Amino acid sequence: MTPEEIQAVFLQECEEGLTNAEAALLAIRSGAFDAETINTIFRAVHSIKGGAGAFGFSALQFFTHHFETLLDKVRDGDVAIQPAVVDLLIAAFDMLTDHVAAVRGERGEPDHGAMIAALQDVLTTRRDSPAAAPAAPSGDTRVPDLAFDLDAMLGELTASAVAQEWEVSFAPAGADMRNGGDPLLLVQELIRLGGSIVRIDTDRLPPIDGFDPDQSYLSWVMRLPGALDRAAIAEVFDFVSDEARVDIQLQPVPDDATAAEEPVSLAQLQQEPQEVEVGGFPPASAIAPTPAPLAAKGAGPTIRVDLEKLDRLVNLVGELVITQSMLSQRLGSNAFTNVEEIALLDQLTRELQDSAMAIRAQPVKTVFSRIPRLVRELEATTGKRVRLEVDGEATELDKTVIERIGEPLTHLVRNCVDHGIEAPEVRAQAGKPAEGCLRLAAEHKGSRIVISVSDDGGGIDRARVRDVAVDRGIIAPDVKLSDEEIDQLIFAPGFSTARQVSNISGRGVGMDVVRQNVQALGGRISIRSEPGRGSSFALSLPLTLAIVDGMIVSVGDQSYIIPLTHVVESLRPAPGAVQRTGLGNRILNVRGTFLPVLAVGDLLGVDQAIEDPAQAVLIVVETERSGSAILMVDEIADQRQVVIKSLETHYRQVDGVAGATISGDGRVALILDVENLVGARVGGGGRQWAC
Amino acid sequence: MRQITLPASLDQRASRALALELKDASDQGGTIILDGGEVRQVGLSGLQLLLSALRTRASGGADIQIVNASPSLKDSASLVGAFHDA
Repeated sequence: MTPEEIQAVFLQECEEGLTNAEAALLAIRSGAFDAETINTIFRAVHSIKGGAGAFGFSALQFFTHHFETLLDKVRDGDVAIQPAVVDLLIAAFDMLTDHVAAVRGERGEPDHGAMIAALQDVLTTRRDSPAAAPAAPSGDTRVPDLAFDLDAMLGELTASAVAQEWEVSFAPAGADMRNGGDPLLLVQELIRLGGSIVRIDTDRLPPIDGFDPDQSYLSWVMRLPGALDRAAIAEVFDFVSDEARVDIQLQPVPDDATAAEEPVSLAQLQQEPQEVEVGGFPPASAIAPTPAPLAAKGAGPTIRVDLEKLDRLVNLVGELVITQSMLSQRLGSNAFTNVEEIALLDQLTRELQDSAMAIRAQPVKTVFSRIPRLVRELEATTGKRVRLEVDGEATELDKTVIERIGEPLTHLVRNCVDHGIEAPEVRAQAGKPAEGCLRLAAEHKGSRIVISVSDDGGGIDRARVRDVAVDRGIIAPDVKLSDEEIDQLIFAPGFSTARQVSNISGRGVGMDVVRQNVQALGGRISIRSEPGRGSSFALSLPLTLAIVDGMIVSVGDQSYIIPLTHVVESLRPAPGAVQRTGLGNRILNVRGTFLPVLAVGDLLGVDQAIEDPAQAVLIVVETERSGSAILMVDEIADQRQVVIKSLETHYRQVDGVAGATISGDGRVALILDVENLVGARVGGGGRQWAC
Repeated sequence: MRQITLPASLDQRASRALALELKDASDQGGTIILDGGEVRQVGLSGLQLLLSALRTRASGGADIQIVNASPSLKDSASLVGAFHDA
């Protein structure tokens, strides 16, 4: 390896070390840590110091030396872990991050004089906590083994705090629902007391044919804090019927909290859980802090590979998939159908493609790791208090997508803290905890990943949003808009409701850019907001930019791919169902909503496309900017994953076309850019008329 | 396909009426869409009915789907541990 390559490896290791150290620091801040947590930070800083010395980064080496000295004392128990010390460690960490960025050439060297003085101050006043430094026996001048003492102390704390808790079993009876009674209120009351649902028994629940609305079929097992008085729990059930079953037992806390049974979910009761959109505003008990990683997880051996080599591999696999598809089609057209080896080759090719794509996948943790510092800075700037909860950071998606969602995500977080979460005094008046909650979550949903940024703030002030939109001429004063449509206005170019332009957000350019960036990735952004309870922004992103699930349609003598993410349904209209408007546009009434019908042949200038809608196939598509619309094609040929080839690389950008793919017969099929295709014809405001 | 808008208050009385409607609709076949956008309050009976509808579908019975769940409906769904489904 050349010295430059070795240095690149060092910088990569710096990033990994910083990520681990930050997770450990946040664990310390939340109080969930052990001796290994501190070791994790120490190891990271120590490694960076070693590399900095080897490569002659003297400022970085100097700073890490002082940081490491304090960490060493904390590790040994010489310095007590008090809130002020934790804050200093986090501030020092932020400065270390700046130093590493300076080495990368991304910024100038930070001025660390004051920080080093602060680190040294703590060392000169160490052992200032009686709790962390038990008095040494009289006459014994040896330095006690404080690392051991710290472990023991933490163990005692843990043991005494969570030794026992109440387990409450509750099976209401049908009688409990009479006279306006509702057992769900009792479950809610237990949650309000600090309870969490451990298990719900739904076994007795019949299918709809045998359902009796007057019967109770469900039962709950819940856990409540052991510190509660049993009478307080029993009081909740004062008015349940004699037929109801209530059992309250004090139980030891399981050693392994993760061994607790997961609550049942609707997903277990349905085949396509994505159609029930629950989530967004889970109750407080459901968004309990995500357990912080206490120590670095043991990872398998790894090897660093140049990204260009990976991309070449992915491209070659893409070519292989296309060639395999062509081979299958050629054999099929020559009466070689149902060839077992071809089916096997098809399966192997798919697995190879999945494996190749997985190599490029990275956990979203690499993006999420920027957020804690951002939140700390926003707390300092706004005076608000924010508790950050992160979930699903191990969720993986393509490296390119990861690299490009950083900016939109950062802006959403800024927006949530600046506009969403209220100042502590405002929250107190609203009966909320002074500390706001910002939740960052990632999860797989079919072939996409959904990243959500939620806050428990005041929600979108729709009246104000509407007023501002009218003032700025974005909407007409008399236009009627639903809550969801008003929420969408914040994505309008130049829109801002900030009463004062701040350096955090409020310049009114951000949300528009956020949406553009997300759409450029083939993603969508949606909002849910409830006054007084908060807002949730969800980014739905493709797992990869290299393949797409597509519906293959034919128009005239051409084949096109419509990405499935846009497809809602397909239908064949009855003769005369598609009507013409005065402007020559065509519309169809789809279950009470008139949608514009756009002939793909007309849009792309294809000859010999079917003109009569009754003879064609209509595909209802959904777009972010323009709402729903209908694309008219001749017929649907197939539905499959296709490898995306850039049109720009080989030709040039074409409006309405997102890329191309090579179909099994060797012909090029264009992938439609549904968003722009519909937007260009229908317009950005959407054009749907409810009956 | 049949679309049913769930009432604002999905209490025991509403669930009696809805149960009859769902049984009737499932006998006729086809997809049944339950729009939960207007739900503001859910009782145990109503929640059980929705779970029963989903169970019916999961077991290969009538194709009943719930869409556009309101925050109140989601909150109630969380009481049967459904808050992880987004």
